[in-house]
Amino acid sequence: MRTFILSRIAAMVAILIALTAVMFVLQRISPLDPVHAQLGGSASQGAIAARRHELGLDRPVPVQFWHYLTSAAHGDFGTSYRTRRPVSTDLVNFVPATLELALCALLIALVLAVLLAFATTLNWPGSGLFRAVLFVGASTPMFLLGILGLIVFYQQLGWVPANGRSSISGAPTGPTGLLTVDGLLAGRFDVVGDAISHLILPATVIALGPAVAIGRVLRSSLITDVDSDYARTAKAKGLGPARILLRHVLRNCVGAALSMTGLQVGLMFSGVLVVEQVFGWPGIGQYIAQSIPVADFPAIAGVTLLLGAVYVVINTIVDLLQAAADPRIVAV
Amino acid sequence: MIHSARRLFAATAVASAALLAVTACGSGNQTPNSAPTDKVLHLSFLQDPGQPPDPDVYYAGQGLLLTTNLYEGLLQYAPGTDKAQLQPLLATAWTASPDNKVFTFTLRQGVKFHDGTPFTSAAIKTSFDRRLAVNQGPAYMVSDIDSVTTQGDYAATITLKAPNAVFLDYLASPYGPRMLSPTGLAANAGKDNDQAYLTTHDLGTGPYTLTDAQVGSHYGLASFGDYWGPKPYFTTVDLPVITDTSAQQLQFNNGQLAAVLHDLPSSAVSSYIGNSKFANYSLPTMMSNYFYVNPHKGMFTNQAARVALTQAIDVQQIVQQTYFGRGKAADQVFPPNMMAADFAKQTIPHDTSALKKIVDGLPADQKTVTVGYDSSNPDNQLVGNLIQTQLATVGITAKVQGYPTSQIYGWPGTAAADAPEMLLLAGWPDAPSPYTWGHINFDPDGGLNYLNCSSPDVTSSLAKGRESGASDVFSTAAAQASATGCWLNIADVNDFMVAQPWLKGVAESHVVSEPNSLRIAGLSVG
Repeated sequence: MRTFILSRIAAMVAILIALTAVMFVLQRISPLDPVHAQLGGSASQGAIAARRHELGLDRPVPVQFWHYLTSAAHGDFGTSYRTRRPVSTDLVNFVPATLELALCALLIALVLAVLLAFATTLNWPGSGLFRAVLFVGASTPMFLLGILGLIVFYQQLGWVPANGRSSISGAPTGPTGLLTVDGLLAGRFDVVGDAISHLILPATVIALGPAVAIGRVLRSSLITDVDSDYARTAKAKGLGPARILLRHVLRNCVGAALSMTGLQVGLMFSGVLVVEQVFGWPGIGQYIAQSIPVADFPAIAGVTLLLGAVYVVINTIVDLLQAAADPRIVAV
Repeated sequence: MIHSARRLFAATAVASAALLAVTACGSGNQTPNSAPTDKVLHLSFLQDPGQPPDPDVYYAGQGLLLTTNLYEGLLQYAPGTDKAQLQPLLATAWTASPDNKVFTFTLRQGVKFHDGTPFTSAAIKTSFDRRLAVNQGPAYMVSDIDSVTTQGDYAATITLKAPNAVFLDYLASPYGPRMLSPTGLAANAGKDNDQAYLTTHDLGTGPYTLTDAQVGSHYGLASFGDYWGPKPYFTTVDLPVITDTSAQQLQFNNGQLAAVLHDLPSSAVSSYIGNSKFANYSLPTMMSNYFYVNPHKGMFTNQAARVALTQAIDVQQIVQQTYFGRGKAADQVFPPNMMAADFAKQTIPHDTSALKKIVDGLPADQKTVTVGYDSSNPDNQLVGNLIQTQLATVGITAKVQGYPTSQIYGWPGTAAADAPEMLLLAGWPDAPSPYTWGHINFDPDGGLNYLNCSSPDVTSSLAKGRESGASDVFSTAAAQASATGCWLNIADVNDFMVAQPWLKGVAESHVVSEPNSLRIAGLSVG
């Protein structure tokens, strides 16, 4: 197991270095010019040259790459050309918003997935409609679903706010940056309620796709196992179908769903980037969306590395969990 | 327990379906939204302003709402008119020497900076020096200053290194030098000439102070209690960043926003023009939608072909379909409201025959071109599509392609070989002088000469105009520029704004040279 963990960590580091190298190559061949974009049309050649030197863009690419790599290893991702602040500071500001949204979406996705799997396996009344709604939602483009949600639940019903993370000025901003958690820690239940009201719609929009994907895998496993010998034995003992699913079948079927959850968490971040635009959510999605047109390379690289690291870490954790559940995986 | 769960699930599913059916049938309320009583003005940014609200750094569009309400310069342009009329601001009177090299100013007394210190003549040189030290986009406006001398606390003389008839326009420009507190600058200089400090604070004298600046999320202003001028009606200005135009319109329609000041798409413009629930304003600007032709590629290396191309563009059709209610076909080479109507006329008859004749004589592989546009500007994508259709009628196959601004800004000064044959861009001048527009667009070293077209005649005329400021000289430059076939001013574009009907003073608070922005102190409820 120890060798397995070390090999996964080594692979993760190699992947992140490769990712950084790819970004540098892309930056090099990209026709984008951040200096001109920053200084505008009236800037003198002297001002442009000075700014280029200040940003280190006049150095050879290998030097820039090595400098970036060694700085990034110490948590220094450079300074954003757009916000003029250290990228690490920007990430500290923006990541909690995205993390809170993604965690909330994951929670909703898991609940909906289990409901979908159980409802369709046990043929609960209304399960067809529930499945249809989920499938339609999951196959609708996310930005369209977001706008539809705003029209129905903000404009027509007035149940949820339309924009941002909070309507309360002076909401606690620490220690975690997650408004729901910080609100609880500060005893500000108004902040918690307000944060949840802002979270619920964008998180649900993000959650529908993963919910269907996870739910389908879980359902498929449940249907296979519900007719197995041990399930029949349980049924012969007088247990109801739902209890058989919960007590016996679910534990055997959760492995595949867990793998799919790991995959969906990674993909969920790409959904977060879209949804943040629709809901004005001040997270890394907005941050990178506004950085790309102005070729803000440090910001783009910082977010890419972060997302890459998150993706790799999550999948490594899933691998480790699976290895823990089934030691034969380690041997493979 | 399981049965109750099943019942609950079934009930929830049915209720959800019913809810969706009911809400889908709902209709919008046509009653005007009520006016606020808390003196809080709710506006918004569509996307983050993109740069800090530092007047020596900020060099873009929508963030002018911040910099022009936080800071003041020596001069300003009159609001509520389509004429760029110089007005006193922190200078109450001024003179210019006949050769436009020496300028004297009498300064306003009783003005306080937001840090509580008094505004005096000492702030002028300090502010100019800071702009030069920061050396960002707007720094060029003070780079030709030779000296600043003071005559007591409330008089100063600025001497330039060379004559410049545009200098007073620089001082009144929304991107021009603002007065910053010398005390505040010294106290917060850090290692970057206050740049870090001024991302979240301000050191101006304007009617509002910066209370919040969360990049990508929210900005906030509060009225300045010691402001020297009339007290603003709104004591607080709330400026969330809304990143989706549909979401922005939903919030405006619901009354959550008092106005939308910029970037409404064409479809929304049409719907608001016909909606009596809201007030809409099509306000004069100096914004132009310009068409650039690349003289370094394909058939358009030929001047006759370029001129024929500008004739083949059906400008009226483009304007009608893209800028309905907020623009008109340009009839001057320079942007609108910059020169009197008699000057710099652009008279290009619509005629496709010359271009068709040229195209018919070309081999098939030379009839394909690319029409580029700024990818952040959906209007220009539409214009590009219309041009694509128009060119098809003369036998040219055009591809319409968006480019990010960071790529477009890399083309000036290069051979433009990587640039498309044509480019569409909307823009406005830093200052309402034909020199500022002509220099950066037409001169070979102009920063917005995207496709690197130039003519010695144009450059010579612009240089003469810079010294004299004479309109007829700029008219000559305009005619020479048109003759190259490299530039076509397609449309004069207005600022289209929508507001709740109770918001008063919108048109009166709009300045022709300050797009996407309003002087907030002029707004009230009525």
